[in-house]
Amino acid sequence: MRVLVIEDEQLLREQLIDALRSSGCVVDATGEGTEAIYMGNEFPVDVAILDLGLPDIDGLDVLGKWRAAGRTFPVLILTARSRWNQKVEGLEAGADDYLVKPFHMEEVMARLRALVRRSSGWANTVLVAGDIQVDTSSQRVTINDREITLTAYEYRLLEQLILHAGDVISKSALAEHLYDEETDRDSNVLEVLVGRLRRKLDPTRSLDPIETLRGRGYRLRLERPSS
Amino acid sequence: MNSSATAWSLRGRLLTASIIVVAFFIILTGIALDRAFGRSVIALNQERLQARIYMLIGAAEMDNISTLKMPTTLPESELSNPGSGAYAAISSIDAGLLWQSESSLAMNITYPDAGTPGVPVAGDWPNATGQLLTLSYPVIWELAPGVETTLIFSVAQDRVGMNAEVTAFRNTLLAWLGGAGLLLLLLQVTVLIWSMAPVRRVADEVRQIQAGEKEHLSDGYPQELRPLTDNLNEFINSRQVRLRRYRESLADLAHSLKTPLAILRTGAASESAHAQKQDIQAQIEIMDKTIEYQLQRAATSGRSPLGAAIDVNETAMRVLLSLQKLYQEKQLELDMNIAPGTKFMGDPGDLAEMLGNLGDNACKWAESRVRIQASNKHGSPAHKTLALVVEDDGPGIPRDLRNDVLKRGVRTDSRTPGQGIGLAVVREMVEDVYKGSLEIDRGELGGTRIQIMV
Repeated sequence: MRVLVIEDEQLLREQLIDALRSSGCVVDATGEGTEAIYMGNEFPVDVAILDLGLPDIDGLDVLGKWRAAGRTFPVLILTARSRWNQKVEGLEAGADDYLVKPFHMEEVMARLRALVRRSSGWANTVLVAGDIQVDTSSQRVTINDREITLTAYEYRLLEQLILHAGDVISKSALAEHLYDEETDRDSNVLEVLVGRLRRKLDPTRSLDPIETLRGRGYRLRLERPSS
Repeated sequence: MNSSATAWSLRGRLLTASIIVVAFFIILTGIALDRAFGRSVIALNQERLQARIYMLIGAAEMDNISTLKMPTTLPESELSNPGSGAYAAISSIDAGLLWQSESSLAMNITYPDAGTPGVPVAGDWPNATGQLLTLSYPVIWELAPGVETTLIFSVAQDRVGMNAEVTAFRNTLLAWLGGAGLLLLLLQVTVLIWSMAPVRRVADEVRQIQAGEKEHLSDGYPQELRPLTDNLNEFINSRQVRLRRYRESLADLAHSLKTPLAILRTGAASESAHAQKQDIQAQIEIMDKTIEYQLQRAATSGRSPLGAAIDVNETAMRVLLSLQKLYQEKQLELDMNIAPGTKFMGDPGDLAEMLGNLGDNACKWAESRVRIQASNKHGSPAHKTLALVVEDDGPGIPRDLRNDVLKRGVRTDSRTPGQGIGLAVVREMVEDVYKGSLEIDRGELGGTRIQIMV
């Protein structure tokens, strides 16, 4: 997933970026409010981590600008402001979660995942599409209860496809959510990855769960269960 | 509002009002008395003139229709002295002027025309020496049985004497009234100074408090100033209490951080990397909780004497919505049952803190349901007590651990691992700051039930 990190304290920002990249996220980051507003409005963001004590603009104003521009990605506020009336204020301003510093990195990661999952419409931690089950907390994939092994990138690709199961997602959008570096976003690389994932999901070539729509992108054919 | 336009001082108001009232009263009284006296003097003189006429009637004798005989000496001796100011004349309708007093010989007095016999006619005629008060009285005179004539008895009195009387009275009046007025004013000023003494005293005492010579205002103020002085004292007290809390929290915080820091320092010098890591993490937890706890303590505002009553429903709704967002993963059923118009006599931030911490604790441990109830119990009319109950359907807190959960301060050995400081913060706020109560029980929903009264 693609995460936007807004934190003005450099060391902390770098710690967050490292942790996020290690667990396979694509990260954009800044320590300034004006740049934060721009990045939130223009970049493809799955979820944002927002510090409130920024040097130029208050974090709540940044959030307000995003929401006013119609940006609906979930936002996790990460701040030292710990009083309940401050929490209420932050959540009422449009945030979806609120963590007080100092925090445990594992908790941040878990909450981010949960936010992304919920914003895609998935209520549970286990994403199900037909026979395919992806447990996002343990990152295990099973087909008909038989576990299959995926590489890191294959897993991320599958996660993105399932999150958007039933909808078309373009190659460029997929690439932006999967790859940090511009150089990796070569459409060939993506095609190869999709091919490898197909083979692992459907060795007998009978189901063909991943549909290719020429000129538009890919779609995971299997519908998500109606809840 | 333009407050730079100085309001009239109390002293100025009272003085001006007194002067105006006293002056008005004195002047009115003076005028009334003066007029009354003036009229009575005139009335008196008119009576004198009437008496003179009767005296003349008694003294006059008529031989025939044109001859009038008057005695040489009249009972009123002034009539014989020229320029005495007392004049008289008798005339008849048929023969004109018959007699006039010796005093009127050099004078040219015009008496009022007489009308109906028996009816006196008064007049007012300017004269060389001043104003004259005149009176004419026509009388039917019987000369002989069947022979009548009409005589007009006229008298006049110089006003000089009268005026002198009036003036003398007026002077006396002025002197006495003026004196009385001044005395009144003096008394007013004294009363004013005496009445305003409490106000001056308040001002003095406030100045003394500011200079640090006094701690609070003294007792014994009049009833009207009591609301001001009592509230001021409460205000001073609460401010001192708050200052004390800040200092205590700061001192406690500094103190409690020393030990973890000492441990960290030792650990940093230690050889074992694994032990280091564990120590660091443990001590960081302690430091974090300590800072959090003391911050909350210092931030608690408490009850302010001039504070308004806070609507509990509004705050509770906002906190509940926040809890819903924070615990969305658990898909809890959050119930709120608060009577409309329920009020909290205290700081809104503190109320949010209580609701938030209790609600957070309940949500953390709940299986699927959390319930918040609140209502007002009546204490004194000025002081409504808030009864707040938060319940969950979780495992509950075992009786022997209930005190642990509320323990003041932060020490890992006396605190169950995984337990936040939230409940301890609420307990400290409720019991120490608001002088209320907090109870932990098992609730209807099967889990913990916490009730606070503030």
